[in-house]
Formats: sequence, structure tokens, C-alpha cells
Amino acid sequence: MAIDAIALHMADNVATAVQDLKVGQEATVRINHDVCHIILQEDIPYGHKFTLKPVHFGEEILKYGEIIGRATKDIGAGYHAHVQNIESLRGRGDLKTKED
Amino acid sequence: MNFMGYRRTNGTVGTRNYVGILSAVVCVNEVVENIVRQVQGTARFTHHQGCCQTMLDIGIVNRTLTALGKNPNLHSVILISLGCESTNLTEVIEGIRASGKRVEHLVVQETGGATRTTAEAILLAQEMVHEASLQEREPFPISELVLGMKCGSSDTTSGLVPNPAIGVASDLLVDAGGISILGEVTEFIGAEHILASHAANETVAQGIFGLVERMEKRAMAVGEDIRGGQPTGGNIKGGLTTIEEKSLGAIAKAGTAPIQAVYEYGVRPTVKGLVVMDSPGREPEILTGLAAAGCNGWGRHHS
Repeated sequence: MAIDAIALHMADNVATAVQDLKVGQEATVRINHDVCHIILQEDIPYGHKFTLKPVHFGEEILKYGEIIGRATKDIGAGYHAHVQNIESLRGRGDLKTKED
Repeated sequence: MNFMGYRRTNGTVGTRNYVGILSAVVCVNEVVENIVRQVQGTARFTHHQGCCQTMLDIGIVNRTLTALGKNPNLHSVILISLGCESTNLTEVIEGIRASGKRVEHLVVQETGGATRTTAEAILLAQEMVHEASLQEREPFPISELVLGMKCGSSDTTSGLVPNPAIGVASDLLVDAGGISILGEVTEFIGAEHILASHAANETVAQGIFGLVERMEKRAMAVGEDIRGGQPTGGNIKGGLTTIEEKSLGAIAKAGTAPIQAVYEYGVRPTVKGLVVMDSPGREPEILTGLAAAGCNGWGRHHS
């Protein structure tokens, strides 16, 4: 079976596209040794990520089972997960300035 | 397994046999470039340092220039200075000479300008390249090799294939008794807990956390969001969203070997195995630091 995207850890809430994927497509995602299917709500370029499940504002984004950032808005399942809706938690001098 | 290398007086082994032309200060970069352009077998070391810097920074310049001159891939060295720089020339010259290498020094303001210095240095470099060419290569075990690791133009595939592949190469060299150096501390941010779990002991683990804390504080001090700088615009286009995500892929270069020690920028390791060196991810700085640390070459992926 052709795989459209992969996630390396069961806890991950995003998967990485291994080819260019199209809106409306049912993506076949390999998560560890399991396979699941997600209807894509947006085009996903090769190498980019999409949500495997709904993610709430402020929720941590997990890839490789590790925290890679947090959601800056509510994101439904199957949406492009990138800089427009995920932010870094580290090296954020801009946040420090606001807090000061 | 053996490789053909060049034996140096201080016991290190080179895989190249260049005459290094070192710039003591930014102002003589063009002189150095003109010399290297004219003499095959020379290697150029230009930079933007050496003047109007704090003593702390000049100290790093002195140390790094000395260490670059000592790199085993250099047979001998010509240092070009202007005459009024802040770089401590005695420290650099004596430091390199202590490794047993021939070091020549030309001062532009004493030689009569850039043209005369270039002409004199070209003749000197030709003589030194000839001298270097008389040295024969000998077989050495690969445990004499020092590998530097670096990733370039990362995207989301970097952490999946090329970085783990470099990790395998690093593990092989470490198993054979060599030295492998992991840098790019900016790309430890968000993954330092995993790296620290590979530390050979608690001191090394704390050293890794300490380097990351220092690097992140430096980034925070400018009061900006690190994104755009890290990950870069190209990384983001390739699908990497945050520095944490980039780091989790970047540290795959470390392979599975235990991390034996943590070093400051450009310091040659005194232990064998996998070690960490303080350095940013930015190519000119880390590659210079790895060369100063004595690397013969680097494992580098480009996505």
C-alpha cells in the first residue's frame, strides 16, 4: 500500500507528507506500524505536516513523540500544520520583552 | 582500516598538505586572496576579525587562528598582518610553531604596502609548497581521523535520512577509535534532553544543558523571536516549523555513541570518541571552529 505521510510516534498529532498531497484526498498515514486515513482539508506540500486530529489553541504539537511547539489557533484534523498555526516555545526573546 | 596521510611533528595526522595563508586581520584579506590565487597548494584563511574588538573576542580570534594553523591538514603557515591590528601575533606565531611547523610572517606596513607583501609572500609560498611536496604520505589507522559534523539547508527529510546516515558514519569512526565532533548548539534547542541522555557521565550532560542555556540566553537577549533566523526561511519552505523540530532532526547526526566531553569553540579534543563543541549552526563560524578543532574533514548533508 502506498503511504502518503508518516508519523514516527503514537503520541504525535501531526504527520509528515512524503509526497505532494491534495485537498479532499484521503491520505494514508503510517504511524509506527499502524496505518490510518485522514481526509485532507488543504493541499500539503512534500515534507510539510498536517494534523492527525483536532488540536486546540495552546495545545502542544508532538512529532517524534517530542514537543516541537504549540498551536496558535484551533486546528481541525487534516489541516496544514506550519508557521501559520504553530509557534516555537524556545528562543522567544519577543515574548520575554512583552513579559518584561 | 588505514588511510594515506601526512605525519605532523606533534603526532597529529593530516589528510591534506596545504601551506596555509592566514590573515591576521580583516584589512589584509585581499592580500591573502591574491597570494592564494597565484600559488597552487596554498589554502586561504580570511575572516572579518582582528580589530576594534573587545579583549574577550580578540582572545577567541587569537586562539582560533592559532588552532587553525595547527590543523594537521596544513604543512606550514604564512601569517599576513597589517601592523596595527589587535590580534596578538606573537601568541599566534609561537602557538603554531609549538606544533613543530614552519611559520613565516609578513607585515604589510613594514614590507612596503600590499603589492610588495603579495609579491614577497608569493615567492615564499612557492618555496614552502615545494618543501611540502617533498613529504610522502604514509598509512595510518582511521583512529587518527577527526570528523566534524554539520547539516545544511535542512528540511523535514534531513532528520529522517541524511542526518541519521551521518550518525551511522560517526558511530563507525568512533567504534574504530577516531574522534567525531558535533556542534551547532542552536540546533540542540528543544532536543538537548535527548542529547544529554547520551552523555557518558553527569558532568557531560550538565555541560550540554549549559551550552544550550548560554546559546538560548544569547538569542533571547536581542528581544526577538528566533524564528526566521532559526529555522531559516529555507528550512520553513522545506516544512520545518520550529527550532525544536529542526533540532530533533539535527541531533540524529550524533548517532548512538556516548558523548565523552564538551568543548569550547575551536578547541581540539583531548579524548577519543564522540564529543560536543560549542558553536552556532551558521556555516562560516562552525566550519571554522571545526577546522580549528583539528578536523580533517566534515560529514555534511545538503538537502
